[in-house]
Amino acid sequence: MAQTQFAFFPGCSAHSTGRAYTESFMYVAERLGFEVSEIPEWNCCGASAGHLRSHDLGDALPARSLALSEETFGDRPVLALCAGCYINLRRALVHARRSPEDLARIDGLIGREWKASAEVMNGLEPFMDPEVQSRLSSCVTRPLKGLKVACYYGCAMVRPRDVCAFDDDEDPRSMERILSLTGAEPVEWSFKTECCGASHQVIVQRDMKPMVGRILENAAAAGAEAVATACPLCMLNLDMREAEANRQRAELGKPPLRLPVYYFTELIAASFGGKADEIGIKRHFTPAVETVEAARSQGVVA
Amino acid sequence: MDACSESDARAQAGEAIASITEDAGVNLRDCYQCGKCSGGCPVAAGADLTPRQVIRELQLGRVDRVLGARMPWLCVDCGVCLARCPQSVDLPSLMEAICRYEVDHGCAAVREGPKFMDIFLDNLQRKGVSDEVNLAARYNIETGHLFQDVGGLPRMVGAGLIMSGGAHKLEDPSDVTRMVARLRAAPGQGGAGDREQQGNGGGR
Repeated sequence: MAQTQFAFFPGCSAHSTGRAYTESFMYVAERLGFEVSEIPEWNCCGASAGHLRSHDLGDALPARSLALSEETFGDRPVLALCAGCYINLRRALVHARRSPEDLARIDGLIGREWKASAEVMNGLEPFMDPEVQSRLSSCVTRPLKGLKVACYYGCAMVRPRDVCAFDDDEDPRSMERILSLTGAEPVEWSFKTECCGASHQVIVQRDMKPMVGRILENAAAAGAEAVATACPLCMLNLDMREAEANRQRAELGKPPLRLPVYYFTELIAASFGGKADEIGIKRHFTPAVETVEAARSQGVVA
Repeated sequence: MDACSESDARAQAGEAIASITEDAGVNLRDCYQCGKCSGGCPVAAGADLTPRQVIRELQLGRVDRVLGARMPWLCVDCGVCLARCPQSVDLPSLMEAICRYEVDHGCAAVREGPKFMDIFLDNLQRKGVSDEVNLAARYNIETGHLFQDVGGLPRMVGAGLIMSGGAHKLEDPSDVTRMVARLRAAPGQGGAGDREQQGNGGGR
């Protein structure tokens, strides 16, 4: 039996900068029969600030939400769509599972009896199940015929391997498998797990500038017409900062990239026939509607 | 370091290094300087020290060359170095421990780093969740980077990405407030790195 019930940890961006991810994920989840229930009274995972302050704060913040999930939903896996939330929740889980003493220490920090029994999953994992994949295939009514897409994972979903343990830490392929079911054609490229700069795009912006440009340029060089992501911060950095990368390219006399960036769930939702204004693709910085519509019009199932 | 004699300085450096490596869960002797870390590092090319140089300086007791360097603050914790290290030296943990040491001693090489952390944790302590608009606004004002990323604002508002309501509010954030306040004031030990639990981790 495929896992279809999830406790949902939305994270602080779910209703703001990551809104299109939430919308498109829920659009697809509803059609695949997922039951996604929000954890009551969840709190911020701490992002990079929690564990920079201290190991204890870095463990306690995610552990509190995981304990609340366990109290409400038992062993149901916790779904964290943001890669930053995912790595923080998983890290606390792995720390708690090291030893009974570690679990007791963390329980002491949060003042709750958490057993660390439920798994933590990222946004891709629910789609890895063969049963879910065959259901997904049967929902594709508007295939994205031949759309060349570079699947971008960034770093936090795949590394460190002792914490993530979900796919290869340098050459993951799960997103490729999922998106190929929509009719899209994933390209082979080199920068799929290269970091986007995450929140360092704020604190050391000048130093991070080259990072987004070289990811997008590598995708374009591999023949991609689009980039797919599975994290709201990766999305914001690639999508919003593409304009800056293009300004740098213009100074070197190079043409702009014009590479739309999607959440992988937006592409699935598009292949299910979702309208542009219900699947998030109108909320982007780099125009993203036309590429999807062009692919869908080629792929109409008669 | 304002120690009066060379041996005092050496002892102080030794203490700093011991504190950092213990916090990081890293044994400096594990590293034999192969340089795989620096070859894969996405920020090394523009940094003042490569990851390999950071660990070398610490091996040689020259902590003064590491404290004050930008490299630990440039580290994005992407984990390429650790993934490729033949000795599994947890460099991201080491870099963060260096930053934490600088935060605790008020000598951060990149002043924006602790500022961002403090504003983020202030919001979290008050509401239990992050407030992206407050974070960006306070950060820009308090660091003097007034116009950083404001070009994206109209589009964000227009696309309903910020200030469109619907944000998560805790009915009662008081236990988060107390927990964050307590742990910010007394950063304890604990965790230390992610690689020492190899084998019994994830549990998948």
